[in-house]
Amino acid sequence: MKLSVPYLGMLHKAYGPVLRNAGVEIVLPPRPTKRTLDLGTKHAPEFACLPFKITLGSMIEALELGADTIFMPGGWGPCRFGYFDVIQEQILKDLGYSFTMGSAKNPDDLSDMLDLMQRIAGLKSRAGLYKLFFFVLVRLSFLDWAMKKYFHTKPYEVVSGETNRIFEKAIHLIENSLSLPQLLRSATIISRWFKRMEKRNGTNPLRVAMVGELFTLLDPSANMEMDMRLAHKGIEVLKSVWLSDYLNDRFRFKPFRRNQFKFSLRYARPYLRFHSGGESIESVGKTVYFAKNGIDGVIHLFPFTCMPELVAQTILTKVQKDLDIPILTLIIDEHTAPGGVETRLEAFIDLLERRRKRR
Amino acid sequence: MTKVGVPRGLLFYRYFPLWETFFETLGLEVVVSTPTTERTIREGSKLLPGDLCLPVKIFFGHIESLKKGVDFLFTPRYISIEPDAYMCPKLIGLPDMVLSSVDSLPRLIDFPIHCKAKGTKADALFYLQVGKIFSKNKESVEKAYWMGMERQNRFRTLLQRGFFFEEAIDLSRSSDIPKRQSEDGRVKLGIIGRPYYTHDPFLRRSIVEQVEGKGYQLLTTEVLSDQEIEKGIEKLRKKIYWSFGKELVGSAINFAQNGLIQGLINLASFGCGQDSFNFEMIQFTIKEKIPILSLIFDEHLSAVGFSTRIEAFLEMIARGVGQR
Repeated sequence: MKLSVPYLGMLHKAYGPVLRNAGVEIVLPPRPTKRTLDLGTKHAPEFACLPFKITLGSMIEALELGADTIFMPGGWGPCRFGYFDVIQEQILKDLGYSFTMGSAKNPDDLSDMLDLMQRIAGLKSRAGLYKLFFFVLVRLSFLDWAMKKYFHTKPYEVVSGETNRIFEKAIHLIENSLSLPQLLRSATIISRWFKRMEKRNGTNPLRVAMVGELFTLLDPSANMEMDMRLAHKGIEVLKSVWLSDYLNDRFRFKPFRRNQFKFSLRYARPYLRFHSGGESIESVGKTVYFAKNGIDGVIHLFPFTCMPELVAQTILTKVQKDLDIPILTLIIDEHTAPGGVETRLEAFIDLLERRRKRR
Repeated sequence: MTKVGVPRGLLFYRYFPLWETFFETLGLEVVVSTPTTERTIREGSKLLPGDLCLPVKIFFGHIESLKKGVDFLFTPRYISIEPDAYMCPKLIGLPDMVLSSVDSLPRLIDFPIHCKAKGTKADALFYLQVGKIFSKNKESVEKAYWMGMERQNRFRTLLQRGFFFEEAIDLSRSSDIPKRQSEDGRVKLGIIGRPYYTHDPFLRRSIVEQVEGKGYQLLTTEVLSDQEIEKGIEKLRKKIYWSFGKELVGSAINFAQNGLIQGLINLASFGCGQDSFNFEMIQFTIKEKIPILSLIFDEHLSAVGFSTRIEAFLEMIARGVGQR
C-alpha cells in the first residue's frame, strides 16, 4: 500500500513523519510545478477551479512514482470540493491508472474520517489511529503557529534573513517531534528563538490581511508565495483561514481556540447571512473583523470560477465602501503569471502607504 | 393594491406559476419584469463583478428595471429544495448579493427555503412566512399555498407533455389539462440545461428557431418525471448533491438510454462551476451512445456563432438518422 495525499499548505509536514513512523508507506510527489499544473489543466474540465487542476496534476505525478492509494476526502457541501474525488477518479481511471481513491461520505464526521484513514492507511488499532489522527492535527496547529509567528516577526527583523532561518529551523524541529511532550518542548524552544531575535523598535509596518479560498490562501503553488513576498517587503501578513483552524471547527482539538466559522459569521451577518459554501463566510466576516481592528488593506484571493468566493466578492464591494477599506481582488487561474501579480501587489502597497501618510 | 415584483430570471422559470397564484390569491398584484433584452444584460453586468455567470447578471438586470414600480421584491433564498441536495452557492447568497449591489431597493422578501435542515415541509413553511407579511389570517395563506401548488403541478404536467414554457404558464391557469400534442414523427433532440437557459426566450431563441426550423423537435429536461431522472443517476458512484446537477445528469443519461432522442444539446454559461462537473459526468457516462453538442453562453453571445455549430451538428444527426 503506497499512500499519496495531495499537497495543501504544510499538511504534508504534519502527517508525513508520523505516518511513516507508524509503518505507512507514503509517496510524496515533487511540490507542484508548472508541469503539475499543465498536466492538471490538460485533463481537467475547462471550467474546473485551480485547486482541482493542481491536485489532479499532483495525483498524476504521485501515480507515476508508484502510488496506489490516493486520499481525497470528498464532502457534501454546495462547493465543488465534495465532488473532486469522483471526477478525479474518473479522469485518472480513464487515463489508465489503477489505484484506490480514498474518500469519505461525510469527512466532517470524525468516525467517517477515521474509517477512511483505517481503510487507506491499513492501520489495525482504532485507538491507535484515533491518537495518531489527533497528533497529526496538533502538529499541524503548531506548524501554523510557527508560520503566524514568522509573519508577526518578519517586519521587525534587523539582520536580513534571520527570521527566515529561524522559521526554517522551527519547521524542521516540529517536523521531527514525534511525540506530544517532544512537540511541546520544541514549541518552547521555538518561541525562545523568536523572542531572542534582534528586533527593530519603533517601526509600524503595514498590516495586510489575505482572505479568500482555503487552497489558494495556503498553498504556495496556487498563490505564488504571495504571503512570503509580502512579508519580504516588510509587511505584516494575516490570513482569514488557517488549515488547523478550519479542521478545529470540525474536530475540536484546540481547546482554547474558538470556532472560527461561528466567529466569522457574527461579523459577516450584516452582509452575508447564510453560509453559501466554501469559505464565503470567513472571507466576508474576517474582512469586516480586520477592518474594524486596524488593518491597512485586504487582499481577496480565489481561483477563477470559484462559486462561493464570487458571492463573497460581490458582497465585499459593499463592505469596502461601508468600512472604507481597500480591497485588492486577485483571481487566479492557470494563466496567472507571477510577474503580473507582483505589479498589482506593488501598486496596492503604494496605495496603502499613501493612505497611511494622509492620515 | 400592493405590488409584488418578480424578476424574470433564475428560478422564475421553474416556480413562477406557484408564485403568481400564491400572491394573487392573497389579493396582491404581481408585477413581472419585461422579457430579457440586450439592455437587461448590460444593466446587470454594470452592477456585478465580471466573473459572475450570465443568468445572475440577467437577474440583476431585471431587478434594476423592476425596483422603482413595486412595493416588495421577491428574491427568496433557495438553499435546498430537497433533503440531500443544495442549490448553487450563488442562489444561496442571492438576496445578500442583491442588497449589497443594488441601491434604493424596495423591501425584499428573502426568507430561506432550507429543506436540508428543516425537512421537506420547509417549502410550505416558507410560504406561510411570506404570507404572514400580507395577511393575518393563516387559513387564507394556507389556501393560497394550496392553490399555488395545484397550479404548479398542472404546469409541471404540461411541461412533461411537451408544451413550451409560455404555453404551459397560460394553460395551467385553467383546471383541465389538454392532452399531449400529437406525435408528429419528427426526429427528437434533447436540450440539457437549467430552466433559466432553456426557457429564457432571449437565450434560447437562436437555438430553438434554428433546430425546429430544420424539422426537429426539442425536448427539455422537464419532459422527464422525477422518477425517470432518479433512475438515470442511480448508477453513479456518488449521488450528486446539487438539485440541478441531478436533473441535468439524470435526464441526459435517461435520454441516452431510452432511445427516444437522437442527439443532445448541452447549454451552460461561461464559468459555471457546477456545469463544468455536470458536463464531465454526462460526457463520461454517455459519450459513446449519443452525439453531444455543448454551447457556452456569456454576455457577448451572438446568434451567428452558435448557428454554424448547430448547423454542423444537425447535419451529423441527419446523416446518422439516414444510415439507420
